[in-house]
Amino acid sequence: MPEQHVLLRPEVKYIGNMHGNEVLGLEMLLNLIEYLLTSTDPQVLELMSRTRIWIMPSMNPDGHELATYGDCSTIHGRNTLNNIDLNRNFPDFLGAQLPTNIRALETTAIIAWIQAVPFVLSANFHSGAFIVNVPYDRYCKSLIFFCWLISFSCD
Amino acid sequence: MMILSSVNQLQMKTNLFVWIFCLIQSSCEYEFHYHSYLQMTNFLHNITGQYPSRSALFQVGETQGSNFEKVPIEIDEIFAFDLFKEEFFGLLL
Repeated sequence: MPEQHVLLRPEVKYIGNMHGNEVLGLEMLLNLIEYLLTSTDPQVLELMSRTRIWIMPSMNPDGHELATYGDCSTIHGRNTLNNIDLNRNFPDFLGAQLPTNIRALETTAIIAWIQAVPFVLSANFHSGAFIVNVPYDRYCKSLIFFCWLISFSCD
Repeated sequence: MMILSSVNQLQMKTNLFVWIFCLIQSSCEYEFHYHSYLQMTNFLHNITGQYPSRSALFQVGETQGSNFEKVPIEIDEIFAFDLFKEEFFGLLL
């Protein structure tokens, strides 16, 4: 049953469309949902029976509705309605100062979700650059000297 | 009375339209195009309805919400949209 956590069964989380104008993750995750549910590949069936996969196609639906089709030059729709960049809104592991003190509703919901479910693997899909960020990625504008030690990129 | 009957006819037509729309939407196969919020949630509801033993839909929280067509707004206004809530979902497989 998908509603319950089974002991020692890993929980995986995928989040897409954190920035409302970066929609490729949303479409990819919708396609992945259909693939995982309809595929008859034995590996996929084994994966489905042994893991619990959470998929959130759109984390920022307000910004997604604000973004316009074909707009590749502006960042219209990247932020939430409160003009908060969700990728700069989570608490920093190493205590760097965040650009805003206002915690978005989306962020509080995601934090409560993460604390409720013991995830072992997570991925968050953006678009526009070919980078892979490691955990403990941080806000780059503070502590420039430590930034490059931890993360080269800050999408 | 004439106005009322015409309104009723209009409602009948819209109901029929909604029914046809639902029938088309119920056969959920992913098509690669940009999905709006409504299309995305329709897809999620349909596919969890098709595979209820293997998937479930949970509401994780609510965003600030949007009603862009009725209320023209500027993005910089902070906390102006507490009235218009919009749900967002996580899908569990």
